[in-house]
Amino acid sequence: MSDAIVEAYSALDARMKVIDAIANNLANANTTGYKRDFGHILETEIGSEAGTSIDLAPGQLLPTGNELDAALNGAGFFVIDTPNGQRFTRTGTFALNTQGELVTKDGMKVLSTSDTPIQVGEGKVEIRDGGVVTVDGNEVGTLKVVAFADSMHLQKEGLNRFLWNGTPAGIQPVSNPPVRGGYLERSNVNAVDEMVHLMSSYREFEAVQRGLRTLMTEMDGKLIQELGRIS
Amino acid sequence: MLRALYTAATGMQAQQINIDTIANNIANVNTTGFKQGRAEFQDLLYQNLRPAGTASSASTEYPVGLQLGLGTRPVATDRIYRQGDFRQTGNALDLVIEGKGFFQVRLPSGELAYTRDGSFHMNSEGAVVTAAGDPLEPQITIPADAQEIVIGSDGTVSVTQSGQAAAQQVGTIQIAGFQNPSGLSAMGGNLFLETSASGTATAATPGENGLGRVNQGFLEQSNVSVVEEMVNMIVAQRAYEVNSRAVRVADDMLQQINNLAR
Repeated sequence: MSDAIVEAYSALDARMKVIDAIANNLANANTTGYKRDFGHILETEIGSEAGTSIDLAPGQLLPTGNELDAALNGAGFFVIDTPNGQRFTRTGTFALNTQGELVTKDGMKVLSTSDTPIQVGEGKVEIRDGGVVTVDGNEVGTLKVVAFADSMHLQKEGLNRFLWNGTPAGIQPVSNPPVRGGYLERSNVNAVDEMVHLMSSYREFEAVQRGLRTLMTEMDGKLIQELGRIS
Repeated sequence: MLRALYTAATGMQAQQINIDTIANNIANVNTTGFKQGRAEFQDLLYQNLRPAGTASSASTEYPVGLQLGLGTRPVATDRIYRQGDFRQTGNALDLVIEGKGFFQVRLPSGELAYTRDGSFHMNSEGAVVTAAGDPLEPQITIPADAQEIVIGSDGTVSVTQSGQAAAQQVGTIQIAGFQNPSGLSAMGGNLFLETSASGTATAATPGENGLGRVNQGFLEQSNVSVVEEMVNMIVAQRAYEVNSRAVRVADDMLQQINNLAR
């Protein structure tokens, strides 16, 4: 096997991973608060390698009229309490649990600025700009919204949750956050962009694959068959 | 490579559920008291092949990682309890709840069910029942010789009987509230059942405990907006299409890999 084959193989593998990331974006084209993964090809000493980074571009805000829906019209994340610790989300499709606390659709408590669950209970709920939650006009808590020092240490955990694996000092509370009650943030996946990336990655894959086949069948094959022939 | 195939397949399945929900909404655009359903999705777990921020040498670190997601899954079909428009019917036993709350209905099994559909009728004994014949709880019986039925905004039912000048109170309609109405389980027939997620019902006089008031002579129409559903349907169908395209590309790539070794 020549170096060229190893390089071509790594190029194919990297394209496949980029296409995996695109497929995940397309699958989440309708997931509220989803942030797309951007697949890159990085050059290395022995060919290429894939990398992904999270594209935090805002998604379109969609009015729903549902009083427990909230969206962030700008940077930041809602903070939720999970069994594995605090996690962050842009998905504001909130609900109430049996105790009347504000939770995500999978039951994780949404935290207030004082790191406690927000007790809502019965009554007319309103989520106001700045994250203030009111029930029948009375304030019951303020949604905690945080931003991060960099996006490098931000990881996706799935289930619409983000994880911060940097230092705790990298988590910065946002004062007066741009919370919009009765709105949801759509996925920031643009199907047109993803299709273009899908097709271009696919064509790159095809080209490398052609090259690899030529290398394997023509050149190496000829070397083996012709040089190795005993005349 | 198989990752993209399965990932795109989860996307197609999610959009099918989305379309199912939208179709049910559209089918119920004329159902009294119907509340719009909404399918909600979550991204699935991620494979962390190379976390960002790990050391690429003693003094440097990878600025970008390699995280590959495995698709999407439906997490909930939420019901949007936005108030539907009121339609005047003039019928004395047509009621709407203006605000939160549900009418309580006793099922033949003895269980209580809850509904926003206030199109009530009288059965042969004069009891106030739903269109399916289930009596309202607490039960209210209208005397046979009642000339006029008046239902106040606090749920008091009074009737004027022939030969009597004064109206006579025959009962009070109570409505039930829940901590988490989205947790109710829909049983069809416009009825909902209590679940552990919804919390227990607290019955009260209309207008109290944050519950809505009752209005006589109106019906609450379905809160489904046809325009919104059509737009959602187009979005869901296109999302299905791009996911199916991703499946095809993944399949093509697998085929090419197979062709490498000939």
